[in-house]
Amino acid sequence: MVNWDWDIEEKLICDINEWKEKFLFVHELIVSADREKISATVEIEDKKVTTCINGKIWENIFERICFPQYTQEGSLICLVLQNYEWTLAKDDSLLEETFDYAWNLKTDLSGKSIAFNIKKGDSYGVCLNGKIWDNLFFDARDIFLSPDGETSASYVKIKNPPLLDIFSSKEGIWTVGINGNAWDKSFISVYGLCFSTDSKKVAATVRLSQQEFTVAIDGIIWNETFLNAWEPIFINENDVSVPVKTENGWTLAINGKAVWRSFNQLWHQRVSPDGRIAAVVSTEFGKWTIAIDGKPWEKTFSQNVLPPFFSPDGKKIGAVVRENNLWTVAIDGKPWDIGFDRIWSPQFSPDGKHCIAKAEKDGVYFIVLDGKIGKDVFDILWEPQFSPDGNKVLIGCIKNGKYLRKVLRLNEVLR
Amino acid sequence: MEFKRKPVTDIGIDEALNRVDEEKIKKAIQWTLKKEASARLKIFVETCMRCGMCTNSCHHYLGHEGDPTYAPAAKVKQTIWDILDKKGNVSKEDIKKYARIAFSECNLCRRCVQYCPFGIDIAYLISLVRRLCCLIGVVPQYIYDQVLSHMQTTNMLWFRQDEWLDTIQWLEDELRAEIKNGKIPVGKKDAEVLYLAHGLEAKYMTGLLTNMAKIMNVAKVDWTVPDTDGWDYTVKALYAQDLETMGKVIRTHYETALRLNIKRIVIGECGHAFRTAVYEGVRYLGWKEPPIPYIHGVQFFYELIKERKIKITKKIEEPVTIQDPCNIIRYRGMGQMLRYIVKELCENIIEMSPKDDHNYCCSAGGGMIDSGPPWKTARIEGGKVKAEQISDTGAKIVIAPCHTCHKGIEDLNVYYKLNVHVKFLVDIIAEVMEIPEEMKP
Repeated sequence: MVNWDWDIEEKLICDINEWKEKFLFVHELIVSADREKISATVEIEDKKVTTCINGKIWENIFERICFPQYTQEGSLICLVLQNYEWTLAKDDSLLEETFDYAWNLKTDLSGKSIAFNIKKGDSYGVCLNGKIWDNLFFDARDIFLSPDGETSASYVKIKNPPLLDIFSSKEGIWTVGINGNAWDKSFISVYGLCFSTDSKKVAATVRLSQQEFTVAIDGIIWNETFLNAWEPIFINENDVSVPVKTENGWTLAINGKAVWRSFNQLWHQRVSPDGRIAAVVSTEFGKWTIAIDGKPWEKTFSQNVLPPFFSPDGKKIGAVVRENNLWTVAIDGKPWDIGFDRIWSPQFSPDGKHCIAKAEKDGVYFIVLDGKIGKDVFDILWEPQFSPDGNKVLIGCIKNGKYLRKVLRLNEVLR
Repeated sequence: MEFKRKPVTDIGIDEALNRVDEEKIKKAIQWTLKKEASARLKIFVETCMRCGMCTNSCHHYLGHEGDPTYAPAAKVKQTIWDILDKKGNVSKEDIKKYARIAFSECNLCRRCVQYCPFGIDIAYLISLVRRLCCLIGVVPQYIYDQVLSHMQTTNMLWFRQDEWLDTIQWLEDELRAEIKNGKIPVGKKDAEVLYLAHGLEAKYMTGLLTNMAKIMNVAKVDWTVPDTDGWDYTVKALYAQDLETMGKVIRTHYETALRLNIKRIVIGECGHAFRTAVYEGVRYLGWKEPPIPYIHGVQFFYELIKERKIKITKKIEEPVTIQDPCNIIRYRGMGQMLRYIVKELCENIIEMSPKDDHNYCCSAGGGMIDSGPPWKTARIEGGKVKAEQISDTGAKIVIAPCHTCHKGIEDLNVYYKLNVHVKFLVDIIAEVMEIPEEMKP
């Protein structure tokens, strides 16, 4: 189970070199959120695999293991093929139900609900917490779980015209399936599915014709249509925002009404903890930045800007940006003055004063704190995390083949 | 100049036209010409001197014994200029003619641009014709079916998600017959390379994917394929000029790579996908350049061979010739890289004439092969020059690093009895590279 121990400074969890000697093949390594566990799919003989956690293997043997991941609670879940049938494995226990295929394994925020896409015969749907949807479809693509974990959704195909029947396909054959029930209306295309924060509503962007895009909420479409639209999000329990294209360019619409000035491009809108909306925008061709409530940062970046992230109080806004073939982090419009080959999921400290990330340059990995490179380099490093008081940083790393869990005081991170 | 053509039936054009009204046509024309066409349209229309320098550059013109209606300037005259002359008041019959010219008599290869004293981009003008046809809903049935698939699934052939994953898994099993512990990583985070495949490589041409996997394993590339939609690099929406779908597909490719924290995307041997991902698609979305590096198979193999990450143990002895795909050679200048690779792989290279950036189009590109059986004769006729070029070399193998060129030349091979084999680089490399002893099962 999860062990958020912030006192033990360094702990050798296991020696991965031994795994490589012991097993025919060691697949990708993954670690639990508390960094106490490291695991991999290991081959014990050709086409016979199992899971190795901290050096110990499961009793079950499989033909294949896919989508391995730790839940927030520290359980290891994966989809497995055993005796030519797919099922779910959780901590070495198998779900009784089996499937012709299973994929897209997902958990909710608490990690208690588990869902995945399934194929039974020629029918497609979702299995949520061991229960298969009552209605299955011609196809089911992607899986979404409500924040409370009670509801699962997928894009489903509800009509199956023959190949090349373009006129039937143009009438719309796709919709949203929620707990096995499809919306009444079908569309040429449906994407960007999201749940409201209270888990009660579902929104998605739908395409009605070549240049008619809008948002459907619980199957009911807005009156307004747009030339194009990206993915919607709920900004609270009821209101939905979505980037839309109008004759003037891209803007942000809330509940069908354009509310921002127009941009050359706009996507990845996010709501900050203090209720502001920030999004990635292109102010003009080849110039990218973050706009907050419609107002862009002065500083723009030529190559890329990733979705915004926020300090816990919402006062600071950051984004990973790319310029001159290097990645860095910009906070409130000011980029760090150092660039990297790659940078991973930066996060603010609980008080918002610091920002930490994992980065790579010239083939080695290190921690970056407030734009300064940490003193240690690692063969492999997982994303660092702040302690709740913000004074310490937890990392999982591999050095010389050994997996270590380390807790660093903030003032120890830098040289 | 009389426009004479054998009748061809395509429900994507004929039946679609039955279902639209004149108002929709008018609206689509107004929108395309007034809202979407850039200053280029005005400049090109006002600059063209009707000098005819472009005429002999076009393989369709040459393939139709000098019929002037196939000359590039004539194709513009019969479409865009006609619309402008009629002030947008065109009939359904006019649209049918425009669609035929735009989809089946121009490959958007831009060879003619090189011969125009003013550099008028006729491919751009023909693309505008396709765009307004698309807004009306008039697109060849076989292209449109693939575009409809792209709209939801991102892939070109209605592939379900499990079908992609299952295919990769059995291909990995097959790979292990040749490579010890051979692996096709799926959805692996933080890899150096995200490999995207051609839709057909997951269904009818799986050998290509296996060979690429073989090369990746031998070269010890840290790679993965996607575990989600976005694995198919094709973007048939480019052919239809369905810009909305094109943008969505290209965005999905880049966002898939960014989600997995990949350094760069590598694709196989395909022209239109590269064109879309590196300029037409990214620019439509607002990027001046790809947001992360996007590498074509030719660039990737060049790198692997030049850096000796793979070792070539024997060379092909039969005479080979090289097909220069327009989208990566004329558009992107990879001619010398391609020749470096071929020289490393083959003993006897006989070049076509003309070659490199002046090479003729295979006559299948720009969506012509994707228009399907109704338009096969059109591309076979347009491919006469290509067939003669190949025949003149006397080569037994044509290396065509593009799916469209590959299939187009295969069809020319049968029709014109060229007696050649058409090969991809990936197949040749997998055949002639060294597999180190320790990697053999």
